[in-house]
Amino acid sequence: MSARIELEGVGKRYGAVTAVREVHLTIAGGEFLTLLGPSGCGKTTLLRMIAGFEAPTAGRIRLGGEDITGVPPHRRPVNQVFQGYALFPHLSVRGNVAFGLRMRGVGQAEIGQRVDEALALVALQGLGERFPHELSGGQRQRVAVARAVVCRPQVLLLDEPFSALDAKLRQSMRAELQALQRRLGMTFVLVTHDQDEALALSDRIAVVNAGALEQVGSPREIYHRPATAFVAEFVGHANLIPVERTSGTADRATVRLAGTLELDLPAERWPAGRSATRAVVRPEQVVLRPWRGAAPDALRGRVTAAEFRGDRELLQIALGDGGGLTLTAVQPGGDGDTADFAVGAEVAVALPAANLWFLPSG
Amino acid sequence: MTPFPVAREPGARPGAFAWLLLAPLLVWLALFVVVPALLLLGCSFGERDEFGQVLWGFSLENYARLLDPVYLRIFLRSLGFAALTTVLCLLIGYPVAYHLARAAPRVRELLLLLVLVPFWTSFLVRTYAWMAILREEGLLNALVAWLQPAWAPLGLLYTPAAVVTGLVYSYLPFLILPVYASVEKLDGALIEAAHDLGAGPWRVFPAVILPLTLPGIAAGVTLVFVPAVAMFAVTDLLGGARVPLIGNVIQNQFLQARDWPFGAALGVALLGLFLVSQMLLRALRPRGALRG
Amino acid sequence: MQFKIPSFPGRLAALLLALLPVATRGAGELNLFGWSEYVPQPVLEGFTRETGIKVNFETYSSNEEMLAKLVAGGGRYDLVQPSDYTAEAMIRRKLLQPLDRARLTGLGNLAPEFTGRAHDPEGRYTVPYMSGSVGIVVNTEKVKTPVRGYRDVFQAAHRNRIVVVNDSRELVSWALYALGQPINTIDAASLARVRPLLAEWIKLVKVFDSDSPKTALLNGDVDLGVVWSGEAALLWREHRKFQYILPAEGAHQFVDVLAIPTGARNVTEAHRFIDYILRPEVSRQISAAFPYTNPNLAARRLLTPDELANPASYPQGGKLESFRDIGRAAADIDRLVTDLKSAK
Repeated sequence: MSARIELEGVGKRYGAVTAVREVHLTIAGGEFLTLLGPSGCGKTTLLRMIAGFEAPTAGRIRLGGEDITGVPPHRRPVNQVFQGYALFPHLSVRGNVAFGLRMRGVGQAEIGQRVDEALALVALQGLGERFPHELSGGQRQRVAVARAVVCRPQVLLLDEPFSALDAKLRQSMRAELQALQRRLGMTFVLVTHDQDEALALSDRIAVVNAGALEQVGSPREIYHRPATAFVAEFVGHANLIPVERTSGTADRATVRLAGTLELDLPAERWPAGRSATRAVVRPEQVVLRPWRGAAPDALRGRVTAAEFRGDRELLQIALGDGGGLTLTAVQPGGDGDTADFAVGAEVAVALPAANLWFLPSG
Repeated sequence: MTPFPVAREPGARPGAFAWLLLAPLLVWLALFVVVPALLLLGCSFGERDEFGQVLWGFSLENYARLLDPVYLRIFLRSLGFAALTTVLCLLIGYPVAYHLARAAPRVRELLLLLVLVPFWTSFLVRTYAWMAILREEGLLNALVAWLQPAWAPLGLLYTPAAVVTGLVYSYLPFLILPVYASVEKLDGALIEAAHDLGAGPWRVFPAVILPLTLPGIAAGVTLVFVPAVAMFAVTDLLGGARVPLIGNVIQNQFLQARDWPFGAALGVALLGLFLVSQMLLRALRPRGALRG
Repeated sequence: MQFKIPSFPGRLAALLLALLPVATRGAGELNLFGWSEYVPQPVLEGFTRETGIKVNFETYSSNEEMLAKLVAGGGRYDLVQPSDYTAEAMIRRKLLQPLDRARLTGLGNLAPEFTGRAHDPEGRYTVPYMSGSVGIVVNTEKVKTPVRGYRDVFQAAHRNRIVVVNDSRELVSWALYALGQPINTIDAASLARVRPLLAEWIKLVKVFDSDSPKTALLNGDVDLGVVWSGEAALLWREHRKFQYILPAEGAHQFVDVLAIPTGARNVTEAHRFIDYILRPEVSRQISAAFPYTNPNLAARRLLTPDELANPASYPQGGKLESFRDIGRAAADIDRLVTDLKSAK
């Protein structure tokens, strides 16, 4: 019921415009993979090529080892949950869910049974006779999912399935979808521009930029060990600080951050073959202390802006001697009425070596 | 309160300002639709005097005359002609409208223009053009004579086929345009969804496209069928006035037989027929397709 | 009933106009309501040039249409152009007002046979405009058998080669002639008598066209027909193969007249127009454009020998007869012909 997808050098060009360039990607059977990227990056085109709506201009697509590059969409064992769901307005919920089975010539009795199962799967029993316009946004999404999974595809494609929902509903639908995927063990390929969604749901994330894959990895890898500045900045918030290696041995490396702060770290953490790069430090990894004079492990900074978010507080800190650098830091929201670090306060910014990630490229 | 209460709950009753905006339309409707219809209705209960003037009164005699087999037969034949015209318009017009709506924007504009161009000339001129094409020494027979002299001349003009040709030609745009509008509104994702769910090119049409363009079809069919039933100029010019249709009979009552009350009764009967058919159409429309 | 030109939009427009109140018509104007294709434009222009009177010209395609609008329009027309039998009915209904004959200096130009006819024996209400007949026209290149009367036209051999005017009363009168019955006595009995004959005839006809029956003949779609003499005259002018024959059984002769409706506002201008039409050189212009039989003897003298030789304009011999008003029977005739046509 779940099959491996192999994209072998898949590319798509429209005239002179290249939408997707030579993508190599293998999605394991039963995996939940997310194609993440900004709008216009080519992730949707990639999905549409898997579905069969677009023919690649280069490369092959295999499903379970079988070449499906030239197979039309209605003959692929792949189903999709469309952005906006594309429910048939003239059919009831049952009619929508039964559609794929009818097209495949499944017998009436079996259709009835499988539709019931699918509706139960998405907790829509009893709403079968409603029409799409009589449903809430969340219910519509469930119909779209039921309509796709009832066909027992080897791969389920989801194109921005949460974009039509409000923030609260999005959270609960996300959990539901993940549970469903675990239960069905089906290969899921999700397209989204929302990094939260990607991090929360995926086994692996493929970050797409300008028609090419920037990085493929688990959510933790992507977040903590971004391969490029693009990935670092697109997934979560990243402070990028210039860093150079000043000296070191085979085991240890000495690096200088922002031209001032010297740190010592194990040599294997430094990207091989580079003399300078940028360090990524996430806002929650920036350690702040009230300024009590210069310290060897800290930079001097001043709070320029503060944004209270309830459970936490976002601070903008201008580094005094960091070449005009500004960092973002996160502090717990606190339990009192006054902030620990007020705007204008001088702070010591410590950047522990263990919290830094050095970009291997870019 | 804002001076322009624009956004209202759907189904809310219009305020005074809205009525003011509607007033010109309402006056127009009252003057040119309601009043004439009432005049027609009133007239249909009257009688004619010897000179053809209407004597107002209340008599059902004109309606009794409608049941005369002569007029019933003509009514049925008119419905048949209009139905055939509508079916042919649908068969020709639907594919045209569909491809028009799905064509590239620049091609679409050009083709749409071509559909509309005939409206720039008078309907009568276009009908005369058909006479020039269909007549015995006309363009079509010249072509036939050139291709296969043994077949020429085909007696085309002044036949029921010529009438249907003229009707289909005249009303085709009235079918194409509403169908075009509904196809254009059709969400391409629905067609993709159907493909995705296993519908091949031939099954997508009956399963998704047809039901979703039904409102356009219904509008087009009404726009063709209703005027086609009452048409009289085409039957006269292309049919040689040999087979009277209900439009000719009505025209005759007003301009030849000087029997306005009977003509009015025929008109009211036609109007009633359309009202009933519209109500039936409304009642039969599927629940889900109402939207869109 | 003569040349009835494509009329549907015109009729519609006129119908709408008739419903609107007239507000802008005043002195120095003439509201003329005449047959379409019957009054040449140069004649109207000449009248305006000479008198300064502006002519508002509206047209109709049947006497019935004219009557309907006249009755509905109340006083909007100053001069109408009914056929004789319609004028007769209008006089009886007091829809026409007496003429001031002293103002009509050209009355003496009229041929005696066109004055003092049954519809207006003393000539108090009407002045003849043009006259014509309804007869047979034959394309002699196609039809070689002799055609003398209605029964020769309506032969099985001519099935689908016949054009006739689309006028129920004309059709009935031909059948009455063929049966030797009087054409102005129409009742249930006479209609029952003509029914079987007319049923046969109608099956043979290819085109019913009152507006321009010559078209089907000119285009070669039909070979013979029964049409207005003016149409036949135009055909003859086009090609001598089109021969006009007055049916041996008898033929309908119509005289279309000028008359002033009761309640007309511009009576003086209407008289001046009638008198203008009576002038030989003006009347001659009408003949040139619409070659019907001109009742104006002085005008006829100005015609070319060729025009006078046109057998459709000036037929020789023949038994000619006027229609008389038949009142309510018009509706019965319409039902009969509608029934027979739809029985096909």
